[in-house]
Amino acid sequence: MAAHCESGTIAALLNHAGLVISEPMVFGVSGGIFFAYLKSKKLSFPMIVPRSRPGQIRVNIAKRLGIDFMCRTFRRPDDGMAALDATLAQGHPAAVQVDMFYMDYFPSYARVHFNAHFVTVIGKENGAYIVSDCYHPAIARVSEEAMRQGRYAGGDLAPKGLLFYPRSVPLSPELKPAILKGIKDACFNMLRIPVPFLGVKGIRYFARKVVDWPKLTDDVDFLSHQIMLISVTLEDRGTGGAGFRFMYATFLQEAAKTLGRADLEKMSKEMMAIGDRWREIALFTARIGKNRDLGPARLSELSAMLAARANEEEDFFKRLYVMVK
Amino acid sequence: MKEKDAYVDYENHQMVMYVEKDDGTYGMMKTGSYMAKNYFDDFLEKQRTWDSQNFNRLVKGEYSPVAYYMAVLQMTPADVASRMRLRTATVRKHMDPRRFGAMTVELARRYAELFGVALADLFHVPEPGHARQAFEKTHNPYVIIMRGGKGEK
Repeated sequence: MAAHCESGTIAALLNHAGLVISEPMVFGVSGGIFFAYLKSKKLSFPMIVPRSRPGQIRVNIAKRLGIDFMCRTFRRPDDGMAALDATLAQGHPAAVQVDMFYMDYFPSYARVHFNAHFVTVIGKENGAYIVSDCYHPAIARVSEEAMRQGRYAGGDLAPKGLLFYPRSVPLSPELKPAILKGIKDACFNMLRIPVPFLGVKGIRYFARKVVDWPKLTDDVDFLSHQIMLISVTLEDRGTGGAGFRFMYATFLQEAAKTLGRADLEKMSKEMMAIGDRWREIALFTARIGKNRDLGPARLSELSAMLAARANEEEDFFKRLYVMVK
Repeated sequence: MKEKDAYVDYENHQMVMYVEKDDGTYGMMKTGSYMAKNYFDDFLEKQRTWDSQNFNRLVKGEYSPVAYYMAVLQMTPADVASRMRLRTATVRKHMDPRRFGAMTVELARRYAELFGVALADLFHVPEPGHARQAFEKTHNPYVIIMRGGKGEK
């Protein structure tokens, strides 16, 4: 198991290829920490996303560490499945992007249509793929049909048969410049993107919007479910806890050790404390959701907690950026 | 968060968290999910309520089978349309029980695949709380073999 599917899958493949690297380091070097408040006709309700766009972790880690990934999409499902079989036959485990809904080793209540899930395929036996999924405690088997359906689901962020594995990996990459670049990237994304629902602005936007959530539905149970989904998103949907903030704190501690920087060690402790306060929000939303205590006073309280996180993270990333500039 | 404070004893839903170890270093730990352990019952209660409401709308003729499964999976017309490569207006048409019958069997099969059910389950919906009858797919995309036992709920 790993904390997050994309960073966990990539860390596993890189370690298999001989590069000793932790999941937090993969996450941090690729600048994975982020925040977005998203609303769309394709979503049944607004949602929050505490990490960068799916696929960016692989692109950035490859660029910054000089890793050559064999990475392809396949227009025709037959070609995509044949390529996966050929890769496995050559002895390479490979990561594939799938719609999580078709990974039938998850219980039915947990299966939702989500196109940006990554799993590592490690073999094929008797027509079924052997899969290592970061969110599943054991190795799983997926039928060929389900794998095909998962790899070729339609919709936004469609997988299109995406398959990748590392072709060559530097066993002693230049970590120091990569770490600094990853931190600068994260700071830019959190502070400088001029879009109101992204980064720190996105946390503030969320703080403002959440008080109006009761206007989006008459169904108290549905509102309760959406409020509790905040907690699930922060804690349970593969973040390593506190919306990736705990994993980022771990990255900063590793970065401090690699770079010999006591100031980054201090920042890692701050980020862990910020994560603790995000976890308070997660526990708060779970409690008020279960109790159906969703009146204006309670949502204002939640809004204030979120606004405080925005201020805290703005201050944090501004100081972090100065340290690595 | 300290490791001893983060650990939750709950085998049914395991996850990885990053925590502060006793020596002050940060690292991963495997733990049960706090949310699942303490709030799963509430989630199930809500699911039961919605399943019952959605099923009643289906049998009353307010929902077509497409609308029913969309409600079960909380999918919007725009999302379904994008996944099915149809226009949103077409999906809305199929959500209408008066117009559902006009679609082709092949389109119905594609909807069933999207919803993760057999084609037959668009027309043979188990009551909430009752398990689907177990079935086996065949090489014929329109035909399944019903088995005597129970499948998934």
